Amino acid sequence: MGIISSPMRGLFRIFREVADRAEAEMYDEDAVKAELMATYRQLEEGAITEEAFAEREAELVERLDEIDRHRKGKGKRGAA
Amino acid sequence: MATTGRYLYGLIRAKEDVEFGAIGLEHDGSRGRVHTVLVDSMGAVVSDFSPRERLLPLRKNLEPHNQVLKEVMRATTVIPMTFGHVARSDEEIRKTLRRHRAAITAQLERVTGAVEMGLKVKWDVDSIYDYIVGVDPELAALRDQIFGRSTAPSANEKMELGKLFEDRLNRERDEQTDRVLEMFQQSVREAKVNAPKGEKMVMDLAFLVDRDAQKAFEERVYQVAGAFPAEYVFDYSGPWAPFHFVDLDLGLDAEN
Repeated sequence: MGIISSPMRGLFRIFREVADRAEAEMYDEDAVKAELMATYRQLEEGAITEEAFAEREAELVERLDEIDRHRKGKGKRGAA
Repeated sequence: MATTGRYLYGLIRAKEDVEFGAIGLEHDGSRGRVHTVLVDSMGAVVSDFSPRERLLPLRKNLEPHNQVLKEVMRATTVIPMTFGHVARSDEEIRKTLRRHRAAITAQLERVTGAVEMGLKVKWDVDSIYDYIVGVDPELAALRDQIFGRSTAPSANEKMELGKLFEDRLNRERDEQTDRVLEMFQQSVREAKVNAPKGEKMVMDLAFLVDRDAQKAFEERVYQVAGAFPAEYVFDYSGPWAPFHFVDLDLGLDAEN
């Protein structure tokens, strides 16, 4: 019993880790915020146009909202 | 309990309160009044901000943050805070400044009378791959050997070529960066090399420059650029607050 179940558990843990890591990357709020700041700096340096900035900022804000929704969804499930 | 916190822009030397006007982040529908919270000849430049408010690095917030720093820089030396530092009260700020007094004093000394200038150098070429192959005979020989035959190159060969390309690209960057740094040595106090973003970027540098040597620095950029081939494009920016030349962790929450 122990011999059969332990490698399964090990594998399960690895899957979980991989999934968690992918999720952490996709939902890394700090990375999105850092990118917002970097994009604004580019605008200040004149490296990108007003239009390009506005478009990128909107995209990143959308991603932050997504992260927020994801986190709230998770919180509800956790509390239930 | 509704409390008004403080948004922090930076730290300065000050013995009495300094007013910078209503140029801060928006709070309660209008631009925040920027002033100082003082302790032991140090001042935190702040404006009112609710610690409960969601604070995102959007243009509407980053613009006033940078504008305040620019304004403060005009008057005195400032240790800039990165965006998003909020304290719950003046007392929290005073306690923090007292606790980090030695480090703050040391960092203020480091940047006194100086500003930060940025310098980015890019390769203005159509294909970075062709360009690097063009300046590296060994890479060119390997490419000809792999692609010059009638049989298609194997995945391993392509990987080997890719690795060598990457290696030579970085070596070229390092060599040119060293060259530029050496040429600026006499004109700057300190230099910092940031990781280049994008494959055509050669280098991304930050320099700490004496406030009254800015003009000389700008002239130096033109001289240095003139010593490089035409495909090297030099782009300088500034003056900025010395973000890259302060090393200070106050242990305050960035963001809330």
